[in-house]
Amino acid sequence: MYSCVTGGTVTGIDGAVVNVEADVSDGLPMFVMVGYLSSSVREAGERVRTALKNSGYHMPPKRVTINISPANIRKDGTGFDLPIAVAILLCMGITPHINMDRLMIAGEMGLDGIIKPVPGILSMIHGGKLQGCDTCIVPYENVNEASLVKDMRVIGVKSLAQAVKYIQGTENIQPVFFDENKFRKETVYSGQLDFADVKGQEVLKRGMEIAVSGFHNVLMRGAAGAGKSMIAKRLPTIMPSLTFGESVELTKIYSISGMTGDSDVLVTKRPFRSPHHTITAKGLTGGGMYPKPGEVSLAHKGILFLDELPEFNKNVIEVLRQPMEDRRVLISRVNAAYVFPSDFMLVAAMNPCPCGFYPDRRCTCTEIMRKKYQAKISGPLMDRIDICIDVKAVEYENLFHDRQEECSEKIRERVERARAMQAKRYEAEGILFNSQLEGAMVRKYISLGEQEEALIKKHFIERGMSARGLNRILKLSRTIADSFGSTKIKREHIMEALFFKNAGMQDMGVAASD
Amino acid sequence: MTEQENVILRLWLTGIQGIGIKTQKKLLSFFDDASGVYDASYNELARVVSSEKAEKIAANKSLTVAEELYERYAERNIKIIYPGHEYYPEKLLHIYDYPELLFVKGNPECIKMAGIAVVGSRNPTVYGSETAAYFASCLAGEDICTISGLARGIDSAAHKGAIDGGGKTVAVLGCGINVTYPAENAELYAEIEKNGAIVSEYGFDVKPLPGQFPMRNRIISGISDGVLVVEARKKSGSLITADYALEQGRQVYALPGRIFDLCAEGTNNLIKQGAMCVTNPSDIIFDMYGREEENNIFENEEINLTEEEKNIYSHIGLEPVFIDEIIAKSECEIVKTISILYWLLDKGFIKQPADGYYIRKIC
Repeated sequence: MYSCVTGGTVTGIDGAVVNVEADVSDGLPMFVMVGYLSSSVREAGERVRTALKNSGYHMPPKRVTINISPANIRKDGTGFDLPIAVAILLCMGITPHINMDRLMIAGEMGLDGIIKPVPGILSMIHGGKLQGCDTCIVPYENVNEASLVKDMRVIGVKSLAQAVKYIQGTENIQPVFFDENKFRKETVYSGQLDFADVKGQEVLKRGMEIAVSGFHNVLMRGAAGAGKSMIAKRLPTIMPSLTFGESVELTKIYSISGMTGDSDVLVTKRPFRSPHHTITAKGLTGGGMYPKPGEVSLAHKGILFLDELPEFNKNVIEVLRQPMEDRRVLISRVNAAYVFPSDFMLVAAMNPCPCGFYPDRRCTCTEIMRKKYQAKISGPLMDRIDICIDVKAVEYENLFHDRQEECSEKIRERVERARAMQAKRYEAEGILFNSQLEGAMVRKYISLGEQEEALIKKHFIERGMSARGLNRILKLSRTIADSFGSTKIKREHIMEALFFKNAGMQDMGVAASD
Repeated sequence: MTEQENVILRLWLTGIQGIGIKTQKKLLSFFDDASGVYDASYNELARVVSSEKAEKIAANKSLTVAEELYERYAERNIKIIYPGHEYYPEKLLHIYDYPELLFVKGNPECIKMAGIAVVGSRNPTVYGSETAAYFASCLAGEDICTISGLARGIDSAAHKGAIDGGGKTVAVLGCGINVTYPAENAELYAEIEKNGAIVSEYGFDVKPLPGQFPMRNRIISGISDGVLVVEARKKSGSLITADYALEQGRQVYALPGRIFDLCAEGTNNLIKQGAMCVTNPSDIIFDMYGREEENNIFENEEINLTEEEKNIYSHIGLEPVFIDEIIAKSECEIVKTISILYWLLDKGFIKQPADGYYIRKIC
């Protein structure tokens, strides 16, 4: 007897539908599984056999063949236990042969037949939806996540027996549907952190506001304890809340990585990822034999904060270039290419010199040491960083003054306004931010008045700027104008852009401040 | 004897192992010149120097190495001067153990010019660097050459100041003539070659060994008319230059500093010991060259500033101040402050010693 049920697997962050075929026929008693399976899928055979027995179904001593197709996709994960069990039961005639075409099944089983949650369920069910499925049987714990897919009847089951009863029609399980209201109320960022916690540091705050407004990558340079990490952690609070679409995309990534929370499945907070500088290249971009998303993807639509940037392995930093450019990571394997989105904003922090005191007189570094330290960050990476802010530790009196600092919400309002201007302007280009302008788009969308043109030209000639540097200044000026709600780029906007430009430290000796 | 022969013979003499500058001097004065040494027999040589050294000289009569060296120096436009050479400065001959050979890159005439040595700490304050540059550029305006040692800090600032002031500057190296030390001064090295001269008593590829630097200081003071010490700690190398200057009978000038400032301890001590206290470049110009120069260092540049600009400018002093402090004190908006700072920088009222930091420009 032959039967076929629909299951799912994950490649990259997208789900793919697979057919789990079973055949039970006469012959020597055997349990064979084929179909380009990873070892975790192969082990499903043992689990299924035992679980069937312990759930009260007798497996006849026959030749059982399982094939999971299409055979060209490598199957990985533990979500195949339940579909295999169901397929065998169908063959054995224990459950009636109902139309299984539009039913998708996923779940891991214990030896006792209890269904356990699986990672990546959102991607699988989403993939099933695209292939025309309208009902899915998933582990009970995954119901919330699966119900993020619109127009899908989600059936949560706790055991194999329950699943079988549902298919037989002897037990009715209430399906769960997508309900936007269930998620929506949590999408506003509410956290303990606020920009008002940061005392002083006006320039740093301003720079960050501009960066977030135009999604520009930022480098902070300053002594230890100046507040670089503090402000970085608060960046998500001035970013607009995630849209539902962004949330779902992020949830997929987090689900595959097994990082979704138990209660609120949907990722509603802008990610803030801060990997340690000992991270490997694969840890950053994602990888492995069965590629999993790396930190750049976990920071998708949010902040990737690299503290102590020069301490990172040089190769590790270099791999950032492609994800930053393409806003996605492509990992090629023999059998498939995996794509993970990585549209993150890079926020990096570094000391100005190895001892961390420059330009203070306490600095004991020579100029060569300082240059070597700064040269650890390659030019191509620096080219992708639009804003460079120097940070100085706040003076004691400013640390404890009682002036009210601006709160995140107010800043966020301005950021949202600036972002709205950009989104409207670039409607036709399919981009959202000034920082994403490329090549000819820069000149198309950024025009300068006569005075402004003269200012840039003067700077270009006197300071020996490169064409790429010029484009960066233009894009940054545009963002600054947007942050003031101005349609025209004024001279002061350009001056501010030049101030925040990404320049090397000037070589004018060591500044004094004893 | 032609100049070329003389140089080759001197290179030959320097190239013999174990013959130091003192032995050379003895030989050269006894035999009148280098050819005399070359032609001298072992017996003649042994009357002046130890038999060991005389043997070495007598055994080493091949000139091929020296000739090759001469070609290499000529190829690289390095001139070699010696006492009696047209470019060898007269005043250098008056010092004890004057160099028998000097390698020169650039314009050798600068070495004979009226010149003041400007020296100081390798780890100066911004104020110190700025002042050194200011003095050098003022001297440049009077056609006075600035002599220094191409070291970090004050030395570099002085060289740069002289070049920016359109004048000449001479760098005396403590390492081989073709060695740039410290390496970060490579660009400055090239600039000095164009706007003055680079001098060293060490030939090709001699490494910057610590013992050579105090020795080169005697040349710095030796080719100058006076030595200005800008900023020096208690035990600073620039004080060695000042000592040489006194030995050689050169005037020593020192910039006064605050008494609690560690960077001024050395200069203040010099003043106590009798060095001339200098508060204006015209002090030196008058004292050394008798030219009276009106130079108001308190020029008020604020005349053409608007109220807002004055406000910002008033919070910038000679100590570097961070932009956040300027904003906090002036209570001016960030974007406004940035554009005013940009304007002040552009007009040359202020300078940026490091990104985000500002100081008042002296000159």
